[in-house]
Amino acid sequence: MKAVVIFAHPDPSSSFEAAARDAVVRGLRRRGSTVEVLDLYALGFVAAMTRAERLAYITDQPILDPMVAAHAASVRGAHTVVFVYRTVNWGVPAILKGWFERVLVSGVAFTLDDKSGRFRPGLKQMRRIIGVSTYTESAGEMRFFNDAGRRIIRRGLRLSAPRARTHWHGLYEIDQSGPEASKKRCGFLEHLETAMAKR
Amino acid sequence: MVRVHPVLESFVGAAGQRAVTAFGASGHEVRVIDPYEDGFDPVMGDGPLAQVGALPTGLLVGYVESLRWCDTIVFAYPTWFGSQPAMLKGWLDTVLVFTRGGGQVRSRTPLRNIRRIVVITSHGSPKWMNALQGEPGKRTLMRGFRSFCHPLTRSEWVAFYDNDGCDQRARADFLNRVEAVALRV
Repeated sequence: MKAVVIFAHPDPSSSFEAAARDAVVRGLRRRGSTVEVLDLYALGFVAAMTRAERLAYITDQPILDPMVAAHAASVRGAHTVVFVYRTVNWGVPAILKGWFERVLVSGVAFTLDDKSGRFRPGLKQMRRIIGVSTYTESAGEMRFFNDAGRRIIRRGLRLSAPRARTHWHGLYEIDQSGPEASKKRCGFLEHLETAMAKR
Repeated sequence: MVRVHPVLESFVGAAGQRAVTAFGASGHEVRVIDPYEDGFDPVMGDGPLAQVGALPTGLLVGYVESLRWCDTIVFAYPTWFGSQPAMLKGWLDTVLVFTRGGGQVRSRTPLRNIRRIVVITSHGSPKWMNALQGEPGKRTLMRGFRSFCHPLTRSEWVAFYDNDGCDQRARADFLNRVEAVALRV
């Protein structure tokens, strides 16, 4: 079974999100999955869709960038996808939003029926969609402002993967400090590893 | 107006242009910010830039100044994958850092000068599909961004749905609606 971890944080080594990513990878390996990590910042992934890509979007060849083509192939073959990122202004950071727009295009995540123009899901092999995010906001604030990232992943992507179950692991108010907060963070990492190792 | 689309001659581009003309006709002074045209890098705000006390540089000076200057802000963009395009999300993430005064010095409503938000956006899919997705882009601006503005800010959601399945007449009607809203505001 293949799992793809999409990691979006500018600091790939000493951030808490990097520790969360490592816990995710350990958990997935314990379960027997082969894991591929796509570190968007380290890869220099281009966030904004270009003019040429936008014009190609409605054609049969919407992918122009070889890196995007490689990511699309990974996602097509994945049984599990995991997103690990820090929520910025009530949603995913721009680099991850750009990943959705450029990778999950027609022919990858969905097809549009020639006659009726209806949406047909394209990720039928996918069984698990998992989101892992840290927040400076509290859970209550996120309910009020709407967690756009969570919705894009649990609902938007889910429309393309009808057979997938979705899971969410959020750590709120991460900028608190003190022994309580650090205990919470350690607990979160352990929880992540256990959750990933489950079937 | 913050106008975000890589293809200027697009439907959203046309809607934005109609709004600019109408705002001008009703006596507003209009500034247009186009991050695509400026070659803005939407990822720049995620790095060391966003540290405590950092000051805006380059393009950001003009962006922040314009945000503090206006009393109405208009966003014109296509809704992709349920919310704002990466370019607009990155633009917001970056400029909001500086309007907050950088890093952790937080004012509750740093953009008190803004009293009206108008969002002009197009969706490829029908309204029900966006409802199913939970309309992630709508609250980001109508609640999230609004929380930075004056507490009595009024907001308008001028959205076009089902762009993939509609006819030219529906599009023309939408452009007229955009114009009517801009004249009324």
